Amino acid sequence: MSRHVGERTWLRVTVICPPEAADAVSVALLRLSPNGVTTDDDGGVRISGYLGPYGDAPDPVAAEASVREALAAIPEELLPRPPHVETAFLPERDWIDVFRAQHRPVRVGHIVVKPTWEPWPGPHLDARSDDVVVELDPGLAFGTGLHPTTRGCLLELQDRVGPGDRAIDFGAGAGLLSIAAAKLGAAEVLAIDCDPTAVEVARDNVHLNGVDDCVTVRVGDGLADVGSGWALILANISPPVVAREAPAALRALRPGGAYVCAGIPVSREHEVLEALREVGFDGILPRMKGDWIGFVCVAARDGGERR
Amino acid sequence: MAKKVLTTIKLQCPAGKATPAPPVGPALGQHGLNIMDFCKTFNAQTAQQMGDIIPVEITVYADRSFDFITKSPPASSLLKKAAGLEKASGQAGKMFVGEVTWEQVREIAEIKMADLNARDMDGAARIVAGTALSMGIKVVEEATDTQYVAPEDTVVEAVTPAIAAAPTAEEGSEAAEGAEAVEGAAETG
Repeated sequence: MSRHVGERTWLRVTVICPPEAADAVSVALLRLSPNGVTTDDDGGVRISGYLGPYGDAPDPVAAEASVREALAAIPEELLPRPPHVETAFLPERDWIDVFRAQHRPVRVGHIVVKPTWEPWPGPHLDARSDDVVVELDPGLAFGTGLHPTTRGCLLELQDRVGPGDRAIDFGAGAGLLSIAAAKLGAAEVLAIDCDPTAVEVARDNVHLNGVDDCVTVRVGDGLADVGSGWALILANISPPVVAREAPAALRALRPGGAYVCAGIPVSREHEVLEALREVGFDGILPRMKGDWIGFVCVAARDGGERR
Repeated sequence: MAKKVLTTIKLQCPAGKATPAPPVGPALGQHGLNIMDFCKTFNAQTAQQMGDIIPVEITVYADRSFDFITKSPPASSLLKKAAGLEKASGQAGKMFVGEVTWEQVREIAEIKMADLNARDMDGAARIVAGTALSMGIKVVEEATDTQYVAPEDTVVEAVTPAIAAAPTAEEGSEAAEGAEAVEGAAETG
């Protein structure tokens, strides 16, 4: 478990600069801190980036030197010399623990999603006779069952997957939906994610739940090469990808199978729906969940029109 | 009833690529916010701007709920577009990777005026020009036909002299003479 969130350390570098240099300093720091930077402008602008993570103790002197080198290209008129740079250590654990404390076991339909570090039954959730329990360590990947779109997919899964069915979890994240499908009786589950970290986390979770025989996890960014005859394809992913992969999904589904599209903010509803309508599904059923919308796209039972 | 605002977090993240790693994790985690929820929503909203850096302002409320707004790309992103670059120079200051005209600089300054903390239009244009320079983008009066080296190549170009063998004795003395000549000019000038 600790393989994803080890005893690694980040180095926070903060540059204190005049407001007019903020953009240039951000550009310089983003070269070293590609995940992003923070800006704090309460009394002087402080821009922070994060270097690492380091397996061993990071060298703040070397890090500061690389920051100063990156800042050197900013004209002195914008950033007076020498620039004020501060460094601080940040153990990776700090915020992961904070994040973990936010995660409690949740029940969605019959499925209980239980973080590995939480007791169950426990103070936050009782046990029921028909519960199907999925143990999950989200690590640095997504899919904890808390997000409305993931909840929607879990409910849809319980309605649509039966013993012997084959299902795809496209954008699998930590593997929650794949494991749930396997525990609901699916004969074969293919979990796909474009992020190798997610794939690693999902594989660990699949193993943790003892469904290795049923679930295959692999890196991928589309549905073109998945073969055919699938009963269910879940795509809890971003709107453009949901739309882009719809034709491939239809080809991969068995007659009467469903492509469940989620992860669509209501503001993008029409654009995705328009794209889905082009594809030739037999029916498209909307599913609302707060600010999010999903679509269940059903392939014709008789094989119907296929492209 | 309006919710009580606890604080505001300002981030710049690559569109569609927010992860729980720093800076998002620590920035949100210290306030007990749902990191995953933010990442998922931010990524969904910005997926079509992939490649851009998106400034985002997160408002944190007393009950640990939050909302956020994404802002228009910073002047640096607009400069990259104006110069037709995929990315900025990794060796800015040593070699130019593209150019923008003063007119383009002023257009960008106008768009970003509110975010630039400038007193007037001239001040805003100077800030944008300085940012351009720091990115290896030259500011010119009129567009030229100069073929700039792609940013990827500049790294190679710029690094090569640094790792080249030390100059021979002859080359070294030439360099020293050159330096003296410059000094002399400074004295007489």
